[in-house]
Amino acid sequence: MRIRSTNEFKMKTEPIWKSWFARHGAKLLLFARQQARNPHDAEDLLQEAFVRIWRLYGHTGEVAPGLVYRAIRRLAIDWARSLDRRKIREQKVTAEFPLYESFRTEVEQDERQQAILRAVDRLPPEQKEVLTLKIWGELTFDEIGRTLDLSLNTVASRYRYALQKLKEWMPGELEDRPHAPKEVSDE
Amino acid sequence: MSEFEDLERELKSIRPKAPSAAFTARVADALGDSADLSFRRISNEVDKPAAGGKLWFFLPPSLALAASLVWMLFFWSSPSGSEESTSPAVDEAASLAGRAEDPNSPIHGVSLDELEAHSGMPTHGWSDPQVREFLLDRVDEGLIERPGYSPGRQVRYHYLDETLWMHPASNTRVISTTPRQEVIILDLDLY
Repeated sequence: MRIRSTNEFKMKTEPIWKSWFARHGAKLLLFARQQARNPHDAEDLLQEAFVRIWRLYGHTGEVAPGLVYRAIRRLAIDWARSLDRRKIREQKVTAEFPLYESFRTEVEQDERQQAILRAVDRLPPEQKEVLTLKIWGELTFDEIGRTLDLSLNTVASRYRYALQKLKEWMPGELEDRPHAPKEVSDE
Repeated sequence: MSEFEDLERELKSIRPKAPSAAFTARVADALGDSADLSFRRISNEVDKPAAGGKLWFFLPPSLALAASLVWMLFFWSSPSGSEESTSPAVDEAASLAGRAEDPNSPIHGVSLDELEAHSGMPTHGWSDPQVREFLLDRVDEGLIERPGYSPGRQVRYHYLDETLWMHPASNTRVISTTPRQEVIILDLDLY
């Protein structure tokens, strides 16, 4: 009689969560940063949410990212409630870490891209989170609505307002740039 | 939404930072056993021999069980059973009594002394059986819906129960192994 250990299975291939996390981790972390008060909290938030969801659904091999977004959102609310008001006030002051810090700082991230991100940072938080989930989270309006507990109409209108504002704030620059990248990045 | 097409495309072209290696390692630690659970599924799906291997895993105890059943049938139907062979059923007094009372049983009307003489194995002096269970595998079978209850997560445990009978005087050992499954449903508190 020979008893197999899980290590024998482990030798076959890489755990599936790693490839999943490599594919979705960046956009989830971006969303977590918007929900948290500082980058460290954002990582804690993402870790907690991801582990909870993966324990529930990881065996399926493919977890819908929307579940993790929702978990991040709800955990963020829980965590905020657990802090006392004074702490929240103090942390809100330091909460404004700029959005561009959450993006790649490669050579190709030129001044224009930084300007766009600064413009996104100026958006009201409720519009910014919808925009983030739609653009970088690649969620549908329906998924965003379920993540943020909002109606489909509210989500769609916030998204539209956000884009309108961005376009108003940077009209000249957009028109001056006829060769905007055509490829959608694959995160 | 076509008026914003360029803007959307441009926004999408800016890619967020990937999580650091240190953070990924932290997540790996936090996942613990859950990482292995999902890993096993992939292994089974991608690697067919691995699935076959799992079946092989249950083959020896199944074969042993089948062999002992066949042997028991042979022994009970043959009054001159092999003297060197052993049977795990010898010490099962209750089962024995039931068979002895059954007029259709091959041991009906056979005394214990006669049985001992036929089987070549002692009928008295056996130690209490030692029972051990081995956890072989744990398979997370995913979510299940239960009418009137919250959804549950079904986990199936595969065990191998081993029973050892020992007869110190004759230094005889009889081992029986039986596969067993247990299904546990965990209530979910979904975030």
